[in-house]
Amino acid sequence: MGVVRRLAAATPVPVLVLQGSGGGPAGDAERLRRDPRLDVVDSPRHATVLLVAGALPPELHEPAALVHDALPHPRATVRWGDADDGWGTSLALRPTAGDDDVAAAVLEVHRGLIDGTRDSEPPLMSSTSREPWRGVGPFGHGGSGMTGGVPHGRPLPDRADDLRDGLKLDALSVPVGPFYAPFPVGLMLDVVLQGDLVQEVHVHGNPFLAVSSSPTDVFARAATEPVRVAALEQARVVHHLRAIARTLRLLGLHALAARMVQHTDGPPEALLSAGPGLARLLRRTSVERSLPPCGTLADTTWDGHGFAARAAGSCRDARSADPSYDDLGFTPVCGEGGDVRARWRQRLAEIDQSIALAAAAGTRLHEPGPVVEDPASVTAELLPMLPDLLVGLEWGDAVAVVDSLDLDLRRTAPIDQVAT
Amino acid sequence: MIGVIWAAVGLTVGVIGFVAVDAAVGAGVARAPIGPAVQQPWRRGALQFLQQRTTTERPDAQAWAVAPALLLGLAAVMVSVVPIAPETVLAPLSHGIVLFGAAAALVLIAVFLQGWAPNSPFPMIGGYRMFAQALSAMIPFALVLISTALPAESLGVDAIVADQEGLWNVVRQPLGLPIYLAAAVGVLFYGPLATPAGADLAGGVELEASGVQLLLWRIAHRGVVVGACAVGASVFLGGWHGPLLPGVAWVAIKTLALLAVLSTTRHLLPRVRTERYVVLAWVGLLPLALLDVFLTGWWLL
Repeated sequence: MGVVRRLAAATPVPVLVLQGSGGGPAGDAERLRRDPRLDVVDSPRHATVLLVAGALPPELHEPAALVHDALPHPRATVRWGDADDGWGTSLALRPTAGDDDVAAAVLEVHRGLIDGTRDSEPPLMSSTSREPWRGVGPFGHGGSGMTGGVPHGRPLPDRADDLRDGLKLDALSVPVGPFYAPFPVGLMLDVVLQGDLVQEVHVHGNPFLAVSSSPTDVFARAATEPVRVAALEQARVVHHLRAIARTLRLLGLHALAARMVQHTDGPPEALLSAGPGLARLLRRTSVERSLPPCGTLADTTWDGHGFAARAAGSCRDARSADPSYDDLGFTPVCGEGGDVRARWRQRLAEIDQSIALAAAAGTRLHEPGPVVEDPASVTAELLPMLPDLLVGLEWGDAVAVVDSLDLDLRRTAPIDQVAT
Repeated sequence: MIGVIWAAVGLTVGVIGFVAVDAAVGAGVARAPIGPAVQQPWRRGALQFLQQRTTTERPDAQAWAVAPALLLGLAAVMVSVVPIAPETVLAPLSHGIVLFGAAAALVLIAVFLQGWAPNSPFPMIGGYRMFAQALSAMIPFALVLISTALPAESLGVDAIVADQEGLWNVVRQPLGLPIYLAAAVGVLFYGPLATPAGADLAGGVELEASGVQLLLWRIAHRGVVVGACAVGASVFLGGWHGPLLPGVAWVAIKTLALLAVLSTTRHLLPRVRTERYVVLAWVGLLPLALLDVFLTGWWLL
């Protein structure tokens, strides 16, 4: 048993990250995937440590508690960054991990759990169902009334017409989110599935609107202080590479995903020299063909912003009117198609463009201005479109559409403040 | 009892070799150090051994317990028909290839049980996906196996291996091995066809599993892939035939070679959408598998 414990203590810690709001390093838990001491997992059942990064909005307190209780024993929680949100107070958590040593703190907690010097955390929620099952029989399927059709808060399977091929299966009402790993944190959908097919989608409101949160990345700083144009373009490359890595993980290509983000935390020179090779490598793979040709945003019917709009044929890019980009040869990359594949191509093209711009800009400083082109999508304008985009798709394709839109519900800037 | 030990040792060695090969290929693709990558599966397995086996609300507990055991049993059955030397096979059956095919077909049942049992939507969707892809791949999978039995005039794996002395089936049936591997990844939900446990389902049939249940499930999954590659090495790559080394070494080398091919596809080929694979299986693999049977028959005549 001693050997087993030693091996278990030496493993990269399987950690489930709940990303909350707030700036600073804790607002960017995605970079923890690069740390060899950690293994960021998708399911709470596979984790030993729950890492809560930043502050959780009140609406996410109960879902976070449910996730906590889904971790197998031995388990523990580590708070990172702003922990003054009132969540998990009954756990008597250790002092919040500092910005730089979060991986070390997680590793220490994990080893304490394995060698028995740290107790496993008790559940946060009561194990008593608020809507107890009142059925009869060995499987509880008989009786009348039971729980009013919503046993344990979940609706029973229902009948519904099929949208596609006439093969009728039970229609299942499935609440998805706010911590569903393939989706951005905070996205909550009520989905009706028939087999693998999405029949209905209802989008909940953005829980992060309840907390004041403003990004502190280089794009936000560029509005108020001079920053190097090359730094802006490097940050754009990093953003796109991380999004590509996320897509590759969804496609089961974890090793390739790790390669994509290998240089994102290193020196800019390494990133800029590796970037073109990575884009070429991706173009040689069959990733684009494996993406579903759906989730189309048509530029003619949608007056949108950001890279998703450019992938749909719009040439709207704030850098066109930005004097800091004069003489750098900037022209917007205007894609066509507007579907998942078009957004993939758009990312690769914008990586190439940003690397060229960073090289051309040298040490030039960006003049502070109210509008800076952000590489992320404008979540507020895309969120209401999700039902139209997702209904009728297979679940895997629906997830690919959501992934390709690059939603970030923590960026809550109103649409009129984004780049035009 | 000796037979059980034989199957257990064969399976254990195969799974250990497979895990090492897969970790090395993954580290190569990621440009990461190979040493830590090879050690990681052992460490992760030790941790899963110590973790609690969690449960869900009103699961089908019996089915959940049976699923990994069934998959592990199927892996042992697959390994049992693989001859490691002339007249040296755990199950010297005249219809060994049929037994192997039946075991491969039942993988579908184990996966569906694993998806159904937790009473959770995404594992169940994983089970649905397994039905779609495995049913589509089974017929071409069986047809290319039958093609290998035709020249040997026997359904026994040892007879098929003995018949390849001088010329392996991979040469005289060039369509066979590629179709076999393309169908096997669907039947065994591996690599680009690991959609029942896909990341878009947050783990699918593995989503709710933890602790020893998850550990056993993953060992068993690798076990069935090892079993299929060992049979593939026997019926297409000549099994124990080879110079200098003993037969068992050749079986191991050829099996590891096929495992390396599958592992490479896992790390380089993106997940195939279920709908696309179903079309590929019925429109592409099935006619090609029939052509393989006809060409083999024509060659024999």
